[in-house]
Amino acid sequence: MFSKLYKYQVKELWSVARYFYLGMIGAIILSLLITATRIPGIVLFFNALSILSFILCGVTVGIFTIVYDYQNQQGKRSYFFRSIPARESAILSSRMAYYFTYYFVTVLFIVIGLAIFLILDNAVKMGVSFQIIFNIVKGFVLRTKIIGLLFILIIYAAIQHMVSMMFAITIGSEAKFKRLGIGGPVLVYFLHYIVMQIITLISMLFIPIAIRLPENFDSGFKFQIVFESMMSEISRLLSNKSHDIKIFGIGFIFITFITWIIMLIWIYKSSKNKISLN
Amino acid sequence: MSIIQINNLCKNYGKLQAINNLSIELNSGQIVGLVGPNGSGKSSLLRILGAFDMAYSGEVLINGLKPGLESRKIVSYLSDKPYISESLRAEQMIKLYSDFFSDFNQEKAFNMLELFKLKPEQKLKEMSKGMGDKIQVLLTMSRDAKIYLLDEPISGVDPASRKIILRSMIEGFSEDALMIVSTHLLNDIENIIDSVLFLDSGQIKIKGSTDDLREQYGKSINELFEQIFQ
Repeated sequence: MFSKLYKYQVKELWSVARYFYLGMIGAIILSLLITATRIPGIVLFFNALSILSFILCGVTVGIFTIVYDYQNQQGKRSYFFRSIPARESAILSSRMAYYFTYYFVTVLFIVIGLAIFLILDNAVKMGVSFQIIFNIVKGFVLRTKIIGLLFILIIYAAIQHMVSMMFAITIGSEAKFKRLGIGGPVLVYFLHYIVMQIITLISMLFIPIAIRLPENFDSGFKFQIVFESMMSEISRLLSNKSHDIKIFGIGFIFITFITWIIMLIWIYKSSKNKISLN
Repeated sequence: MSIIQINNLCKNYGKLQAINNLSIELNSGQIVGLVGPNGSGKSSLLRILGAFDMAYSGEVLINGLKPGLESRKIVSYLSDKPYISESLRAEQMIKLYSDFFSDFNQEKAFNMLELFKLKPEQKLKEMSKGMGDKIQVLLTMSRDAKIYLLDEPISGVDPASRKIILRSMIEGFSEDALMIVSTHLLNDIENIIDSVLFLDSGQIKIKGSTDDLREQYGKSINELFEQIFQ
């Protein structure tokens, strides 16, 4: 049942999302063509316009991903989706896979697109060919292995986004929030956001695990893990025993994992036992 | 054993009590008319029975189990709102239903499509409201379910279409199933229902077989409805 539910959700959004992905590809192609004219003023203007429409398309897909999930869970298509005799675990996991697919694909699209725009912009400004700048960037990416870090960050952000949205939609649609309508999920989202920010900040500052930041990034991202809290570093800075903060607390990563698990269990239980459609 | 058992059911929306201590048992093999004025709790009751609303107090048993995964396998529900993706064609909707519901009868669905004079390749967004309603009735009734819950299946549909929808409901209904039809268009469904529940402010005002009630009050069910809710 998981694969059927997953395919249904992905196909449903694909009927709309494909046009926005085409728009994103179109913006890149347009930018490439305009760059070929090598007229700086026009190139810069159209590149700015292309970047704007490119990002707008990506953001719109993101918004539609949330809207379609809301429609399936609480909106006009919910009387079909929630009548399917599927285990709650299948519904939950298919929703997660659906969010992850669109979020991951869209963010990846945006990152690659922006990289192309950046190369184009520099190529025009420096008056050199696209290939030269591309090779410089490629060299930097391969030397520093930044792509790995970027990949991890995208996955991390995708999961964070997915859990937050599912949590807001599911909990915000419980009977107690019903009179608020769409305001229920919005309220739950902001409450959860504030709580998560506080938890992240506290765990970042006080949990004694951090990475020592490298002096320069040119030789690559070689981090050293230290078992100190960021707060102690800040205290040293405040008492003038240090000039700057050289460590970055990563305790929040573990706490975030735990909060994701708690939130997913919460979503599961609410969706199973507290569903209340409009 | 009754296929539906409800004991002391209460449902509130804030301070508003939609269902007030309702208890009833319903057996298979009948079509039940659920009637009452707007806000009497008809849709709320059907939503609870369809496992779409778990926020209630009291006991509800569908075939001996609480509404949930198992009840969804035997309950076919028709909402009063459009709930199918508008970009789908009629044939795609039939395929979708047969993918998700093991009791879905494709042959029955295509026969009803023909009865309704609808084209398989037509998209929902290209259909009129009445045609869309027919599609939803078709999808609901094409399941070989044990319980059919139909919320306002004929409201907003022209009289000629109403007759076709009602005909399809009877044709799609199997003798050992239970069908609950909520409506305020009692005149149209009076001839197809076996028993009736008059709901008012979340409580049952009158219940019984249509024949018994006609004999007891010396009126048609529609006249009785008008007298009670005037």
